[in-house]
Amino acid sequence: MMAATGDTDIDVEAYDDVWVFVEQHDGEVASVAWELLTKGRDLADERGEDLVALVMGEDIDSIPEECIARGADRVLVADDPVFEPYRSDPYGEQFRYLVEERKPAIALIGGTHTGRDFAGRVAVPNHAGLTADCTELEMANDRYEMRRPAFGGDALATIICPDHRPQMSTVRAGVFPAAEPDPDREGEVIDVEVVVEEDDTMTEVLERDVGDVADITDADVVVAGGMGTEGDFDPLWELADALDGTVAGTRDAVDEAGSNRPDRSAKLARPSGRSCTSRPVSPAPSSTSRGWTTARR
Amino acid sequence: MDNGWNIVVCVKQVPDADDVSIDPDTGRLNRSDAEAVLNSPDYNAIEAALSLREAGGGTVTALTMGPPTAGEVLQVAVGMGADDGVLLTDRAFGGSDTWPTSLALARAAEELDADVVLGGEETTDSSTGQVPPGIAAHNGWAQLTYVEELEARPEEDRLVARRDVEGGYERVAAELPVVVAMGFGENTPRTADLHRKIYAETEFEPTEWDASDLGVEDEVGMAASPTQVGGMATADPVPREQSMVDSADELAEKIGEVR
Amino acid sequence: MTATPNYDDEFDAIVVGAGLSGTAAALTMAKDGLDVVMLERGPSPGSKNVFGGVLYTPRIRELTDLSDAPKERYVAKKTYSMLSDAGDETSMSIAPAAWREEPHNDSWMVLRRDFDEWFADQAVEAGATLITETTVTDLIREDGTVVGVETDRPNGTLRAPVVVLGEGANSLVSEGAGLKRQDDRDNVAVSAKEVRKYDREKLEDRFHLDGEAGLAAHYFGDGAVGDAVGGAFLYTNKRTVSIGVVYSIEDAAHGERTPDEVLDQFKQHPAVAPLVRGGRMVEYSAHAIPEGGPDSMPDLVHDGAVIVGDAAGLVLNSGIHLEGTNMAVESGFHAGQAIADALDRGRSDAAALESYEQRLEESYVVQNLDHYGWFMDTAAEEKEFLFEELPHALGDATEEYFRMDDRPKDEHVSDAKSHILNASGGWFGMAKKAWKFRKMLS
Ligand SMILES: Cc1cc2nc3c(=O)[nH]c(=O)nc-3n(C[C@H](O)[C@H](O)[C@H](O)COP(=O)(O)OP(=O)(O)OC[C@H]3O[C@@H](n4cnc5c(N)ncnc54)[C@H](O)[C@@H]3O)c2cc1C
Ligand SMILES: Cc1cc2nc3c(=O)[nH]c(=O)nc-3n(C[C@H](O)[C@H](O)[C@H](O)COP(=O)(O)OP(=O)(O)OC[C@H]3O[C@@H](n4cnc5c(N)ncnc54)[C@H](O)[C@@H]3O)c2cc1C
Ligand SMILES: Nc1ncnc2c1ncn2[C@@H]1O[C@H](COP(=O)(O)O)[C@@H](O)[C@H]1O
Repeated sequence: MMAATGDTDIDVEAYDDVWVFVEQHDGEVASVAWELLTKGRDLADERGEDLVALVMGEDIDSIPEECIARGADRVLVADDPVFEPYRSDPYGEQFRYLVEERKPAIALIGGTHTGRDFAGRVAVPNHAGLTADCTELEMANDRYEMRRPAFGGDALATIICPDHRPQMSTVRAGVFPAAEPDPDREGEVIDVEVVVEEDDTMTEVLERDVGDVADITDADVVVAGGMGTEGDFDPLWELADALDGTVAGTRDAVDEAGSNRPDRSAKLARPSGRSCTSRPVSPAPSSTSRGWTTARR
Repeated sequence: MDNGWNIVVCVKQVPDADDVSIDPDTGRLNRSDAEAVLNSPDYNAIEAALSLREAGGGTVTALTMGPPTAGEVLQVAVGMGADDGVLLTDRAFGGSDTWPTSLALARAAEELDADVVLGGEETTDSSTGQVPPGIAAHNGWAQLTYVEELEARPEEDRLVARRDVEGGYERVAAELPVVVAMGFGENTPRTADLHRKIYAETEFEPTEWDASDLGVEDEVGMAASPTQVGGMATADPVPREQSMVDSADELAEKIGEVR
Repeated sequence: MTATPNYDDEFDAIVVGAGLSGTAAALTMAKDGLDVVMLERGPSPGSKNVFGGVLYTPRIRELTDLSDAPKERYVAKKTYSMLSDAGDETSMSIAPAAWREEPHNDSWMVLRRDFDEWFADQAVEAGATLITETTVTDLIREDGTVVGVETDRPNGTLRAPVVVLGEGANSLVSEGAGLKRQDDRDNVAVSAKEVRKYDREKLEDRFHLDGEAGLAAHYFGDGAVGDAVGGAFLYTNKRTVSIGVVYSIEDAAHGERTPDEVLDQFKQHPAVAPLVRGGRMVEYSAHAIPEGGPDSMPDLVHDGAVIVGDAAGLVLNSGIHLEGTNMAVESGFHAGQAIADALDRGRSDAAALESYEQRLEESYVVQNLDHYGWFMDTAAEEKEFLFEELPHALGDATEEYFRMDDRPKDEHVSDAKSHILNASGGWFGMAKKAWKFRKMLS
């Protein structure tokens, strides 16, 4: 595999178009990708550039059309068994090649585990600027500004990328509305050259089990419990039912819970504690008071 | 491998997340008061590194890049059981974003002849999670992020990880050398042994390397960083009110009102 | 793993707790060339310390250069106020010119979180070793002699010739190891305290302060802590105000109100409310303070161990004085010297360490404790008078004395006197009480 090259003399004028990485697993598109098409469309229009969707995988026939229906002008498709399931090394190498060939100005990637794994790797070989976990993206002061929470959400940093291209961001799920499909939209689907071979890969997926577990990043309403639940998630399920939501818990709370536990993989705790995408809406009832407390925003 | 793996664990010094606060009066981020501590997810990385050594032998070297005071986080790692520590310190590193940070760490990992490099899921200060994949990319090594569990397979020169893939898991085998980002809270970090802790804090001296030792003096710092922090605003404090309700339905109703 | 050295008997002394007393002992020994290790349970010294606020610095100033220490304000003015629960306030205010001059009567408002860390740093700079996040759980004894400590860490025992117990009021190690009886309940006071943050200018305007000048205000009577024996305080820091209540735990256990509620009530007193209005609460804490006086002092010296500071009951809580910091440092200092002397002679048995107790007895520490020791008993006996009747009587008397109406001043004066006389049980009772409390203000 190629190691990085530190090319610092970049002609930023040579780069244009807005790219969106369309994360898919087994033909199933991660919903954040549709959200990125919404934002990508706005940015492309504002800059007078094209919106390009990038799809990698195997047998992904219907996805490119759906990307066009949801706003893409062009879809780059890398269809090959080496891309299913996702692995950072073949994806990264293919992306490096495409960027070198086509020079996008902006690339948006969903802030999922896969998206962050991917973005962190692909930004390096192109010496691209990568802004993590953006919640706002806009053209302002004649430049592209990305805003992201830092210090556990207490601060909002504006990140700029003046001298390097592409300007990449991972974007949190749920920040933008999903683009609605318009079946009449037209666009171009391009099958790109696949530059990776299985023999070059360094990783092998031995087993993959993505079951019927609710992924809380897909949920509109999450009722979250911490250690204050003392193992009793019943009240949380009750509230989740009333709100039509999903129950999640911090790791320790989930481990402590009995049969009514939320699924273990609905892990809430991010290292910075306060930066969960969905802020918990209610502190868990304490053992001393059987009542509920709400926090009003 | 006869003598086991060279395991390198990356640790970062950050302001204590519990101490960083917004001063509601000035609206400013209060970061100077905060104690400098080891990034809490890195405890999981250290624990994973020590467990790997226990399983297959080898050595664990803690690695950090930061100002001279960052040596303190190496003491934490050595106290917990790391064999040695390396401090990358040089004014030239100041202002580095994740690209040069991961470059410096990648070069140091090469220098240490690493078989496995471990890091945390993300930091509590800028929390990009981009450094471990960055290290892997700079060196052209395999990477495993959001790792829940590791299984050493020295006989195959491979490391197998169970990864959290949001909604499930996967098991991935990676060839060495490999960079691993441990998921936050995935293991229980051990408490440092008293005598080891005393040793780490009184006698242990880290190896120090500067940018030219790594040959990266022209590729780090602000100039080599594609991103810049163009401004910082404090998030609006959320006004809060408390009230007690008696049932889940009533609470749901209240939530409905403010949603 | 690279080899781990064994530190058993590598240090001359182990200090349990890096508070004021422990650090003073460590600093004294380190300056004397001894190898000392301080074991502190908190992430940094002082991080768990709740304390009202005035640090008395006579000895610290001799041990180290205080000019760079994180201090908030010096005490430029003290006030003592009687508060009744009807809303009366009768107060006395003291602001000698001398207090405004160096060394400011050695009385400084400090934040212990900052100060203790700085103080421990002085000991480290003098050569001591500080190990934090390590809780001592027990002492190791061999043939009755203390030979080391046990901690909550793996491979957690550490041996040394002498152990200094500076663990503070909640002295679980000394008690657990049988060096000290568990304090009788009525020998302990409880306190609740909060710290409120203000704009610096606003704070200085409100309390008429400038530069580093500060106010230490003390309150008594049922308007301060209800019917319990105790008092309340308000100290000004640079940008914060510490407000708290301290009262006997006996009352706390029997009364209906929690310390929290007592503090709330105090803050609502009309004499106090305007002083603490606005701002933002940045800290709240509750804590126990030993107040037993000389009778409850444990044996300070044991084979291989000494007890210093609050753990040794060296707190003066007389109602007028709440002092512990100076005695903590003083005891640590004397202990440190005694240990250095003993180790010099190659000994660490109780007899060799005995000079610590002697030095302390000769110092103001034990003398002051003797002097005020009777106070808590007397105060408890006269609780009703002191904390209920007197504040009301004083309130009524002053009101009467200064009343503006159509009666002649003479009548007001004599009515005012009778308010106090009534409360005190007539002239005879008054004289008896005056005798009893004569020492209180001396
Ligand atoms: C407010 C703010 C926002 C920022 N946003 C961005 C951004 O969007 N994009 C960007 O490229 N840079 C950004 N930076 C710069 C970034 O903080 C630095 O490059 C930082 O040194 C590394 O990033 P991280 O803390 O996010 O590491 P992460 O990638 O979150 O760290 C993951 C793991 O990598 C290891 N690691 C990280 N740093 C070190 C180190 N110095 N020494 C040893 N191990 C380490 C640790 O094991 C850690 O657990 C930002 C800085 C600030 C102050
Ligand atoms: C509310 C309040 C107000 C006060 N106001 C005043 C005042 O205005 N002026 C004044 O002079 N005094 C005041 N005092 C008293 C004063 O705070 C104490 O007398 C003084 O702090 C005693 O010092 P010390 O070193 O003995 O104990 P501490 O300061 O309590 O220090 C003990 C240290 O030991 C550590 N420790 C405890 N147990 C262990 C263990 N097992 N292992 C390891 N470490 C351990 C603790 O974390 C702590 O750091 C007040 C006290 C209170 C509670
Ligand atoms: N003197 C230094 N030596 C090594 N790394 C540094 C130094 N100063 C800052 N850094 C690192 O450079 C990155 C950017 O920090 P800053 O310059 O504070 O924005 C962080 O990872 C710092 O830890």
